[in-house]
Amino acid sequence: MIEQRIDIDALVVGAGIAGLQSALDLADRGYSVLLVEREASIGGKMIALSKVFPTMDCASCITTPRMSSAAHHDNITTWTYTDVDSITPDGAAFTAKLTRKARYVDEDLCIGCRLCEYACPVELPHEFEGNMGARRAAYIPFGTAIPQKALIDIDGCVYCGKCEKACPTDAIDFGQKPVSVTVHARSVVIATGFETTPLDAKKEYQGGVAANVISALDMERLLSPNGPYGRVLRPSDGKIPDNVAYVQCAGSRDETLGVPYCSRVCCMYAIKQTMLLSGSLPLADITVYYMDIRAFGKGYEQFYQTARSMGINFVKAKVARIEEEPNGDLKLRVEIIEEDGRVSEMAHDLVVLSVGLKPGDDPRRFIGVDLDQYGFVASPEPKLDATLTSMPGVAAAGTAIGPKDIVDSIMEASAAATKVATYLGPPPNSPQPADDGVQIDIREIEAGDALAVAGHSEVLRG
Amino acid sequence: MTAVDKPRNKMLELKERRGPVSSALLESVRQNNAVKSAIKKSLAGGAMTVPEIAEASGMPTKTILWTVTAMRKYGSVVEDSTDGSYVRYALVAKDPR
Repeated sequence: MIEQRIDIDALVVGAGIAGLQSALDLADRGYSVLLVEREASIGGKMIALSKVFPTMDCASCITTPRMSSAAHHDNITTWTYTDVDSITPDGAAFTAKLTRKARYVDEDLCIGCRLCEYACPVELPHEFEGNMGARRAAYIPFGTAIPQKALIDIDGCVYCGKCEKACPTDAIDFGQKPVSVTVHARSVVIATGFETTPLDAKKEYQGGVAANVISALDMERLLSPNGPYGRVLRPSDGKIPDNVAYVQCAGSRDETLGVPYCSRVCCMYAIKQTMLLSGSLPLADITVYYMDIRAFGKGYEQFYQTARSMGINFVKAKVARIEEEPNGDLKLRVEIIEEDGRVSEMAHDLVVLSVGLKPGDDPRRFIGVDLDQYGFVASPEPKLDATLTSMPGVAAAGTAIGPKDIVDSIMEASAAATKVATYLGPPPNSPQPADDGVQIDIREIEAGDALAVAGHSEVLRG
Repeated sequence: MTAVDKPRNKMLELKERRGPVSSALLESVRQNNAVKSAIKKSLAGGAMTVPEIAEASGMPTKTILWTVTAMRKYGSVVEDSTDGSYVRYALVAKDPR
């Protein structure tokens, strides 16, 4: 294994939307940032989403500019396909041991033409598409991946050499080995994100067994214009579904799964998906079986009411069991709470489980921060400073701290960057105050006061 | 470039270090190629839905859909039209890859 060593102001672990925002905020202030991501592209979970609630903005349109900004920022070094092995305190700073995994493609030579991918004879389930689509053993992670560089899944490689022959820049390099890197970082931001609770966690729902019981993240890919089928089809036979059900709290608020907490986003993403589905499948019946609808954010209740007015059928009920019919349809045994508690059997041709959120990684694997009982990073001041961790110089942001939506993740990421900047002090080479500068105590200025200082005149408006 | 540095040699050296390709992987490649051939044979007569291809080839609909999806992604199959609740797929005139 080859070894390298670098020095940096801030090490940001995880390049989802929270990690990207923290990295950009710190870099914009002049700090040198190393942004590391275990996957082969930055972007995290958000880049796989179709649209975001409640604005219905295209998720990719929001995420890709930030991905691009981070990848091209002078103060940010971005390393994908990199594992964090350990981060240990070293005086007032930290020593991090990282492993840059072998892509078997020279990133400097690869031009992202995908000719290696077209030449590769091995087709494997594509994780990015919830395994509903295919990728090849030599592949670029997805269309908007950054970097647009190929990699070879060596476990799926049959050593046919076709990728080497197809590559016009001789970028394929089977001689690559993992590179061990020692990073000397003055601060750390943990933004390791979330994973969804397993589709098969509740055996009675047949997730992972019945082909037409899918997760909400799978539905995000089906709804995405560049999704696996290019339209919404059910995975068992390609039928265009006409009777879709959502089962809420299918991985949250459940002691038996070790997830007693509310995942905070499932109600809203389900409502968003039903609205998108009613656009994609105008003739389909769409039913949401829920315990409570938790639409707590700005504009969220209106969003919910809009979905109701569009004809989405919200039924306060608890789904006890799902059974698969021979033709792939699904029979749901449902206790209708809002009526008389009677048990009904409902038929649907596609069921979406609103799975919950759990930590995306175990940070204790590589750093000694305190975690809460569910494995999220714990703050010693959860009310006053959620981004704080038990280790000085280490902040956390986004769903690494707990379930939350994209808006809150981004705000928290900026808060974490501010916390780290305060800890670091002025960045190196930061501009010094001008000699003729006048020190003003902002606390003494009332809103609306006229201010005339050293030749400058402005009015602070309340 | 020395003999060891040649790409082919590097690949063979890696193969030697990692051991032979698993029989399960080789079998899945063989099966995938067989499904693709069956789909191409079925679609040679015109556009078909996934259940129609499955019936003609005697293969499961889920397998056919996954493979048609892969073929569509890599340019050998296109959507033709919809037939009730199903999409009809067709072979492209000339498989580019």
